[in-house]
Amino acid sequence: MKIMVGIKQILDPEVPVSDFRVDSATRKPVQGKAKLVMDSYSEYALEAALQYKDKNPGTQVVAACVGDKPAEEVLRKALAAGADEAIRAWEPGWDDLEAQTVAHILGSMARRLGGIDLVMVGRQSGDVERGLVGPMLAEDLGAACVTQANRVEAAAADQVRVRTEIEGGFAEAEIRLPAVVTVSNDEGIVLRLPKVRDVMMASRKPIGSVGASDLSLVPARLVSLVSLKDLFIPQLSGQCEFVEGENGGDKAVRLTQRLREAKVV
Amino acid sequence: MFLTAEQEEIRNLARRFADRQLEEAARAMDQENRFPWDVYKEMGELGFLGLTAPAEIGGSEADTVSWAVVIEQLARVCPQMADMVMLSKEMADFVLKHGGPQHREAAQAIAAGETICAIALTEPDAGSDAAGIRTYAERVPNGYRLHGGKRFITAGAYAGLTVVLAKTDRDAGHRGISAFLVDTSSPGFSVLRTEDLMGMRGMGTAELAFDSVFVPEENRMGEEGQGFKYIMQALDTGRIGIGALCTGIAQGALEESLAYAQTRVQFGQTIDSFQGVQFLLADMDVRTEAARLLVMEAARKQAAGQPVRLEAARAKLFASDTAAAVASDAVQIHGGYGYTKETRVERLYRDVKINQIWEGTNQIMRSVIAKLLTR
Repeated sequence: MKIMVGIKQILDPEVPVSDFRVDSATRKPVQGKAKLVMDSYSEYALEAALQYKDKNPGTQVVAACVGDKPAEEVLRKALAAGADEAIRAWEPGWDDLEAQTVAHILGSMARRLGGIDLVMVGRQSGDVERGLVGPMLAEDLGAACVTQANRVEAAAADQVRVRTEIEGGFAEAEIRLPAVVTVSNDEGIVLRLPKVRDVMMASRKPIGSVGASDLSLVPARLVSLVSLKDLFIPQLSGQCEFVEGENGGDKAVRLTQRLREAKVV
Repeated sequence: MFLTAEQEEIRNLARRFADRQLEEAARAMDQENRFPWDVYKEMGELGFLGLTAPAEIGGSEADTVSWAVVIEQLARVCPQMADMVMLSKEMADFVLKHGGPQHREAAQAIAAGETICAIALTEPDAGSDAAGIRTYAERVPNGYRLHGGKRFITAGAYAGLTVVLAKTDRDAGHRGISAFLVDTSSPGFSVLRTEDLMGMRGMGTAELAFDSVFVPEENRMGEEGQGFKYIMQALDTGRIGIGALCTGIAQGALEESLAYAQTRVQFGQTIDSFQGVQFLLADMDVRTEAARLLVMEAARKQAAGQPVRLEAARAKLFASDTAAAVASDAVQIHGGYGYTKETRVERLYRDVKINQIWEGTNQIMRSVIAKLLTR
């Protein structure tokens, strides 16, 4: 079984709110003091894949990222945690790719790797949180798609059993491979801490790098379909009116009056 | 401060582990005097306890700089567990270097965190004057019998193995000292009591008694009469380790102080806007980085196989004095809260002091440095 895990590198979402800025001219977040980190849903996806590998020896896990050289840092983290191979794809000008393009590139990487039975990605990214790449990638690969999973287990040949979170509990589905599974957060799949020796091994392992010419990309999938008009941090304002009264009952009457005046009730 | 990409990744791993796992362990050790075995085992599995050990005994073969970096990151939160990283390396190295093939398994167990090995040198009447130890190793058929006692032995209450320094020749001064690897389940060995310490609590620091403890010949480490020399050699590495530990205490105290000063409001402003506090923070930062650089220089030189007696003494001296000052300033910045057990800095303030005393007092460090400068 060969699993490809899609990893995204994003600005650290844990920076203090006061440090987060958006450049209104470029409509992009300013990196500022934020480091580049592995998106946390990618971490859950990676851990779910590694747990599958632990239980099913012989499984190969390939970590894949659409990113420039800095992406090697998160790919090394994936290798240290236990991925067997790591590969990134990049072309100059790929800074602002839309979901359908990222999905097509990841799909092309999977086709190029060959033999990928299962692709696992985070259910959404920790920065833009749109959740589009997973299902679009399944379309691109002509594969089954299950979203918001938190467990993947081996089932009969050519199938996996996937547990997903639903309102009030869990659902289990068996799906035929090839499949794309998007992974949600769950305390059973927190990314493991790597051993020191694996950190050292990962820092010495080569990371594959491919460009557009290696990937047989379909031009129609590279076209921008969505135009970002504005990106801004909303201005928060508040208005607080204290309702006066002699006692609780009195205040309640006045509050009701105010709510009626404001057409809330 | 410059680290290679690999050392940087190891640093990140140690930092994440410390932040995730060590706060609770530190509290348990300090307030309940309890040793957190589960955390210790996890440190073994991650490779922290055999960081520099050879792969043949399950070590990670990382360099001395990586080891110093791990100690620093752990010490920010829990100096005791940082000290265990130091101790496990020191003892695994010692057993590998001075033991025989039959001791491989013991070295492996130490590096994996399966057993703790303590070092028993200090006695009630022999601290700085280490050569004045009186524990006697009497020659008997097939080995020795140890008679005597040791005090202030870190992890002595929990150790499965102990390297014991004892006199095989009571008339030969330091040249009469030999080293022995003792299994603590041996008849005649006992833990008399554990210390109730100001800080670095929960480590099972103990007073040990040796009542005719039999040690087979093969468990003498190296040659008779060479034990003192072996220990002196190991001290350089130990001093780099303590330097890293102190840098970690200082760094932890600084980080806590920064976080506190940026949220504590007095007179309508966060206290980090007052110059008095700013100047404290700036001095804490510079001195901590200076300590770090001394420690890393010693670590780098040792990793390159060069003698580091001077560098190690400088690092231990400066880092411990710095950490004591920084920990005190950290309590000051925290105000009244720094005096309560609610804060980490209260604990670090108590933990730090021993570092100006053990592994060679800072007075001894000054002697060592002066002698090296003037010879």
